[in-house]
Amino acid sequence: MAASSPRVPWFVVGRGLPPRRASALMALAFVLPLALWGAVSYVPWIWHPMVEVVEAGATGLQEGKQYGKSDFQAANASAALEGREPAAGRPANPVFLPAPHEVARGLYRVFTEPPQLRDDIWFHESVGHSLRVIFWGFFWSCALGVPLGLLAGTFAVVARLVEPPIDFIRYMPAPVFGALMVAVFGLADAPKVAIIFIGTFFQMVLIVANTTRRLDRSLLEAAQTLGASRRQLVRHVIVPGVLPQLYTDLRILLGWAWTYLIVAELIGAKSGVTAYIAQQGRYFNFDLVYAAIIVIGVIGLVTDQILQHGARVLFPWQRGEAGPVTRTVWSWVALVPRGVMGLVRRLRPGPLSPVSGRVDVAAS
Amino acid sequence: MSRPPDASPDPPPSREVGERLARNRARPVVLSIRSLEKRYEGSDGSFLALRGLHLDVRHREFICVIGRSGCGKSTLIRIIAGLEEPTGGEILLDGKAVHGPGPERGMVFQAYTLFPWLTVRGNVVFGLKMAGAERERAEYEAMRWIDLVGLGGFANHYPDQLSGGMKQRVAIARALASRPRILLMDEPFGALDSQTRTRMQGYLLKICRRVDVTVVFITHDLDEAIFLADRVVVLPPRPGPVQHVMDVPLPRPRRREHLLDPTFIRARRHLDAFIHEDEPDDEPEVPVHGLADEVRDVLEF
Ligand SMILES: Nc1ncnc2c1ncn2[C@@H]1O[C@H](COP(=O)(O)OP(=O)(O)OP(=O)(O)O)[C@@H](O)[C@H]1O
Ligand SMILES: [Mg+2]
Repeated sequence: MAASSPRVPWFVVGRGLPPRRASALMALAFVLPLALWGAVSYVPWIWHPMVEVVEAGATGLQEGKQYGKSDFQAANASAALEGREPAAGRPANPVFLPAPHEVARGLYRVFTEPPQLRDDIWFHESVGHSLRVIFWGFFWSCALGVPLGLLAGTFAVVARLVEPPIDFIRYMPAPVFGALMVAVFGLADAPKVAIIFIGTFFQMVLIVANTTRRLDRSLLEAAQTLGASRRQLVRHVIVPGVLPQLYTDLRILLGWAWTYLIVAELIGAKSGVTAYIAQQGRYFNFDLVYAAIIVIGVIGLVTDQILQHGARVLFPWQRGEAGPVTRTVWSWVALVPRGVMGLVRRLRPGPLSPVSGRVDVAAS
Repeated sequence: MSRPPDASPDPPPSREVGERLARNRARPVVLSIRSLEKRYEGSDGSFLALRGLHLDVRHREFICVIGRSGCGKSTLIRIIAGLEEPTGGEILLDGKAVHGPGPERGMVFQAYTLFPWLTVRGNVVFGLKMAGAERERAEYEAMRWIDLVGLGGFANHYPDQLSGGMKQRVAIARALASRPRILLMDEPFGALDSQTRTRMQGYLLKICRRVDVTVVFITHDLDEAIFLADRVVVLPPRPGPVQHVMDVPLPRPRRREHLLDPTFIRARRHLDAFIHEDEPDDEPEVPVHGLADEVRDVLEF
């Protein structure tokens, strides 16, 4: 197979990898850190700077608690000096680094374990709350930012009027508006939505305006020689022309919205995943903290993958635009039906008609 | 009109051609360029691109404009299209001054300017849609134009799926669908390989026989100009009035064999004299230092 042939060099400037190798590398990108984490967690002589007390003896140390190695040895040494029974312990990692299996269990516990205090919230409720804040913040940002950006990119008049103040505001970090937003909108979700809005809106106007300006001018000229009026130019050339890039811009800005979520959830009454994670951190439930972080990551990845795939459906005239992760993920997803078909074929004795091959449109 | 001393007089047309040219001259003027001037204002002063340009184009004429690179051909055609405003003079279409772009002056650009988000059909329908045509009729009409340029099987393809020559055929269909009085083409085949180019020239002539349209075609390829045109217009290297207008002494329909016809070759030599007028025949010898002998051989050749 060409893909695994040693003659294909690994480092080629500006070229893709054979699909097999790309898949393998992506799997490695996940497996390698996991293996490292497992090694640190399960091999007792790697790192493990703490000692977890198994039997306290007569040392006064607490069973089940962790102590620094030198503290533990000092306690045992003084116990030995005074003839008291020494403590038994085993090497451990600090609480903030739980082992993979603990985090895996945490992924289950995070959804099943009821909140510790009566007015604490369930994890899935906190995620729902965060998603709501992001949605509304980003929604208003798009609803106002995209049209304004399009106008600024189309008409120099609007750009001159709108862009300088926005350029001024966008360098102010969103948190500085926290107190102001609470004062204006009160303590509920409104100031949080406002922070997400502030964090993304100003960037969005500038980015969309720029995207609009980058549209090929000759397309506008061609449309004009075909009789398009000013309105028609905007509606039939500028909007469809910038749509694919706009979509990508928004996808990237959605990532920004997530980073502003932390700020938004810390102002006023703490809320959402930030509140949940902070609370669990206070209880030293770091397995739950990691589980929560992983869930957020997965939500982000899945959203982005769906959006990337959506672009291919929405903009069929753009070919081969998927990023490397998307391509691999979808090639994996494509394996599922193939595996199922293989299974079916093995189970059924009779011959099966071949799966319909791809029919390429001859373009000659 | 100045004429370089070494240029032979216009090659005499045959009787058949002479009659056709006379018929052409009897047709009404569609496009009239009146003492056109264009001055670009830049940060480092102004630049005169066109000056005192006069030209009349008659109904159903095929005009090719040639001239040195940078002599203002694109500027001229963009002004006719209304994409640039002249700083002096005016453009009359059927006797009326025009300002700004409009569908009665169709344009085909050298760079591919098909809308990538529309299929071939969508691109050709575009102009009709802008004019507010009813959808079904527009689609029907668009298909006729697509068939005319021989792309009936590709109506649902996106521009990205087409070759360069096919794209330009769609661009021609798109421009013609708006029923322009005049079709403006700025080196439309400049980016194509020579075989495709030859084929496109054939297509274009065939289309023009079947469609009631007047063409102004810019090219820097003399063969192309003579092969396509009724009249070849030579723009001067410095801004000024049209340097020369040549009636092409070849019969229609044009065929590839005409390229080898003595009349064709004479016409070409005639135009050549204008384009390469004041270029010295032998360049002064420039001493070449520090180069390997092989390189010097190549350079001196
Ligand atoms: N927007 C502009 N601003 C300033 N100068 C310009 C502009 N457009 C063209 N020019 C100048 O006007 C002159 C004529 O340009 P034009 O593009 O019309 O030449 P051309 O005959 O089409 O050349 P080519 O054969 O290379 O296409 C050039 O010297 C060019 O530098
Ligand atoms: Mg040009």
